[in-house]
Amino acid sequence: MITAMTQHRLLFTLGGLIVLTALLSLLIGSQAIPLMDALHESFVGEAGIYGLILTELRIPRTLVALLAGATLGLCGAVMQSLLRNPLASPGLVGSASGAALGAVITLYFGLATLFTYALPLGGIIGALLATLTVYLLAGRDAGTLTLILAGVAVNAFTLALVSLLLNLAPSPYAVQEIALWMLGSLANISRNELWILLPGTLAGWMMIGRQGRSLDLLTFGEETASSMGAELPRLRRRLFLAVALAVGSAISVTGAIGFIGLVVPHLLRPLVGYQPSRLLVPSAMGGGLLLLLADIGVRLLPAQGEIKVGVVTALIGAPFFLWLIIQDKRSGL
Amino acid sequence: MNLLSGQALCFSCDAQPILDGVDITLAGGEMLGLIGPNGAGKSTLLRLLAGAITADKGMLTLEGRPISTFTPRERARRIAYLPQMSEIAWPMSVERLVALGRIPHLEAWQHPGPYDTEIIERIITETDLLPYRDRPFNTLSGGEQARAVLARAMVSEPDILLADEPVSALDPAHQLDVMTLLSKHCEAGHSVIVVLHDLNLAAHFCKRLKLLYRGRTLAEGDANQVLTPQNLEKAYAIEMNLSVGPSPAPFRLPWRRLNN
Amino acid sequence: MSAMVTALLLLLLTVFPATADPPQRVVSVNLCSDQLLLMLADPRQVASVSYLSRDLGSSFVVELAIDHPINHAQIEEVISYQPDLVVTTPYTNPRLLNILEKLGFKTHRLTLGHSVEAITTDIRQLAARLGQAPRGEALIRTMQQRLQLTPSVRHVDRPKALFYQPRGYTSGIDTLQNEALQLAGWRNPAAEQGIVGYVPVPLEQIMLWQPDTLFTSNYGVSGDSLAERQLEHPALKRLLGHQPLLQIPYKYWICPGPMLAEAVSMLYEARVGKR
Repeated sequence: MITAMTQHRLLFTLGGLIVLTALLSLLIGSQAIPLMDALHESFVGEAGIYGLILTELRIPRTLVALLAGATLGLCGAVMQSLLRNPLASPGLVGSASGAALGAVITLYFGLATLFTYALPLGGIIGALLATLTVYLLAGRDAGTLTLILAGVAVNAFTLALVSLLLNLAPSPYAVQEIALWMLGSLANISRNELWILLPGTLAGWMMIGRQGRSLDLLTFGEETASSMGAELPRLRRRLFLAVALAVGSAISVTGAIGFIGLVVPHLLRPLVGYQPSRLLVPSAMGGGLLLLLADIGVRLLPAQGEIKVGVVTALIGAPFFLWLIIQDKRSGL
Repeated sequence: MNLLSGQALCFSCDAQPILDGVDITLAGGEMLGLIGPNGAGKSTLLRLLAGAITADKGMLTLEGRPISTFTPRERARRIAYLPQMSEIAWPMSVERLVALGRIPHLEAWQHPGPYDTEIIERIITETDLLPYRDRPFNTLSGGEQARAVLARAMVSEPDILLADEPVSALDPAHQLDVMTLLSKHCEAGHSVIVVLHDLNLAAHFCKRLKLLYRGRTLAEGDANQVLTPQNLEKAYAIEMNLSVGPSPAPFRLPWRRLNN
Repeated sequence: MSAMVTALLLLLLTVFPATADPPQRVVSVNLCSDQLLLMLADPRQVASVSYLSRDLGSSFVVELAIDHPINHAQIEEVISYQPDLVVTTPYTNPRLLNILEKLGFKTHRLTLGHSVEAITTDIRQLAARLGQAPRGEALIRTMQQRLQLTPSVRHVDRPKALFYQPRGYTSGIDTLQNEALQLAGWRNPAAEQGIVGYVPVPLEQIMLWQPDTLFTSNYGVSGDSLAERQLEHPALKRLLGHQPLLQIPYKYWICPGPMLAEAVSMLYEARVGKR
C-alpha cells in the first residue's frame, strides 16, 4: 500500500510540474507578449495579434511538445521492458531515425501532398521497418552490447539515407533541413501538425494501454512469462506496431529527437520500484515534461534562428548516457 | 480422473529428439518426483507441461480437456512453472516480485485486493522471506533468490506446481524447508511435479517417482520400484551404495562411476 | 569629401573613357556581372560568361548569354580565354582574384550595392570601362523612368509589408528587397527595427510587426519542404485575413541591376491594388 501511495504522489508531482511548465511555455516565446491580453483576445474578446500568437503558435507548440515527448518517454519504457534492456530506447532501436527517413521520403518527394496523413504514415512505416531490422539483427533476447551495435548500425545507415535523400530531393531547401530531421525541432508548429500527429499517437498509446501486466511478466524471462499467461508473439507484434504508430507520427512532425526515450524511463524506474507496468504512465508524463522544458530552453537561448530542440535533449542526454555506461561497467552488467 | 495427463509426448530440437514418446499422469494432491541424468528431458517435459513450449506430437489434457482449449491465462491460473534458472530483468523488491505471481488472477487494470494481499503475506512468511521483503532481488543470496521465485510461483495458488530443481542452490536446512513447503502444497489438495537430482530427497518426499532416460520413461513407481541398482546403473552409469541402517528410511549414496 | 573625389573620378572616367582601348575579350565569372556585362557590352566584346547566366530561374539575360561560351569560375577556364578584362564582384573567390592579379590580368570589380545609387554607379563605371558609356546612360535612364512611375507617399500613410521567405527569412536594412519596398511606397517594419541584412526571424516577431501584406519569393523549382510549409502556417493566414502571400520571382533579388525597377513596380501595384 505504501508503494501505491508513492505512485500516486509521483503522478501528482509530475502532473503538477507539467501544468506549471505548460503555463510557462505559453508565457515564454521569442517575443514577450502580455499574457492577460492574449488570454482575453483568445477566449473572450476580439481576435487580436496576441490572441493569435497564443492560440496559433504557443498552444499548438506546447501541446505537440507534450504529446511527442510523452510518446518518446512511453515508448522508451515499453521497448526497455519488452526487450528487457535499459538501453532499448526509440532512438537506439531505430524507431526515431526510421521515422525521420519515412517522413523525409514522403515529404520531399511529393507524396505528402497526395493526402494529409501520408506524412505520418511514412514515418510509421519507417519506424516499423527500422525497429524490426534492429530487432532481427540483434535477436530476441539480445544482450546490451549486441543491441547497441545493431542500433548504431541501423541508425547510421538510416541517417545516411536521410542525408542522401535530402541532397537528391528536388526542393532547393531540402539540404538545409538535414539538421532539422536529425536533431528535431518544434519551431513553427501549427495546429495542422497537431492534427497530423494526434491519430497515430492516440492509437499507439491505446494499443500500449493494457499491456503493462504482460511487461511485468517479462521480468521473469520469456518462458516463465508465457507460463504465467503472457502471449508473447502477440504482445511483441502489438507493441512494435504501437511504438511505430506513436513514434512515427511524432517524429514525422518534429524530426528525430534523441535521448528522451532513453533518459526518462531510466530516471523514473527506481521511483516506481522498477516495475514495468508502473513505469508507463510516469514515463509518458516525464517525457512530455522533459521535451517541453528543452523546448522552453531552446526559445530562451539567444541565437540567430532557433537552436534545434534535439541539441538541448542531446546536451542533457549524451552525458547521461555515458554515465549510464559507466554505472553499468561498475556493476559488472 | 487424472488432473493432468499426457500421452506419447514428443519434442525435438533441430531434428534431435529430446522427448520420445513420454506418458505422464498426475493426480490431485500428488507429488511426483522427476529424476534422471542430465539431458534426459526432465526440464523439457516440465516446460512442455507449463505451456512454455508446445509438443510436436502427443496429447496433453488438463482436467480431462485438451490443454489447447484453455486460454493462456486460464492455464496460468492452474499451472505454475518455476524454471531452473531465474533471470530477473529488473532489481525489483522481493515483495513486488512475489506479488507479480498473482497476475494470472487479475484483470488488466485490477489492483490486488485484500485476498491477494493475504496470500502474498502468507507465502512470504512461509518461505521465510519476511526479513527480505523490501530488499532488491539482485542483492539476495542464491538460497534467498530460490525461495523468492518459489514464493512467486506459489502465490498464484496453482493446482499444479512444476518446479525445476528448486533446491539445487540451497543448504540442507533450506532444502528441507522448500520440500516441506511443496509437501504442504500437496496436502492442501494441489499437485506438484518436482525435478530433483538428490535421489534421497526424491525418495523421501515423493510418493511416486518417474525416472527419465534419453527422452523416455525408464521406470515409474515408488522409490523401491524405481531406484533399483539396475535402473540407476542404466540411467546414471553409477553404482549406488544402498543402506537400510538405523535411519527411518533407506538412503542411497552414489558410490562409484561405472565405465561402460 | 570622399563623395567629391568619387564624383570627380567618375567624371574623369566618363569624359575620358578611352584611356585604353576598349577591351575585346571580357570574361565574367558571376551571374551579377554576367547580367550587367551582357546588357552593356557589344556581343563581340564578350569572351565568356558564367554558367548561371543561362539559368532561366535566375538570369534575365538567357537569350544574350546563349551565344557565348560559359565558365564555372575556375582559374584555368578563365585563363584559357586570354581575357583582356575580367569582371568580378565582391563575392568572387579571393584566391581566383589573387591568381588573376599575379598573372597580370586586368579586372573590374562591381560594388553590387543594394541601392538605386549603387546600381547606377555600377552600370556607369562598367559601361565606361567597356567603352560603352552611351549604352550605360540609356540603361540608367530607362531604369529611372520606370522608378518615377511610383509617386512617393507620406511615410505615416504607408502600409506595412514584410518579406517572409522559406525558412523564415526576412529582409532588413541594406537589402534589395528593402530598397524595393521603400521605393514602392511600403513601410518595412523589419528595417525600422534596425534589422540589417537578410536574417531569419521567429514567426512570433513577424506576427507582432503586424504587416498588412507579406511578400515572398521561392527559388528554384518549388517543391515540398518544411521551409516552404512554414509559409502556410495558419497563424500567418489568420494574420493576413487569408489573403495569399504575394510571390515575386526570386531572380529579381539575386543581383542588383536595372531589373530592380520592375520589381519595384510589382510591389507598387500590389500596394495600389490593395487600396
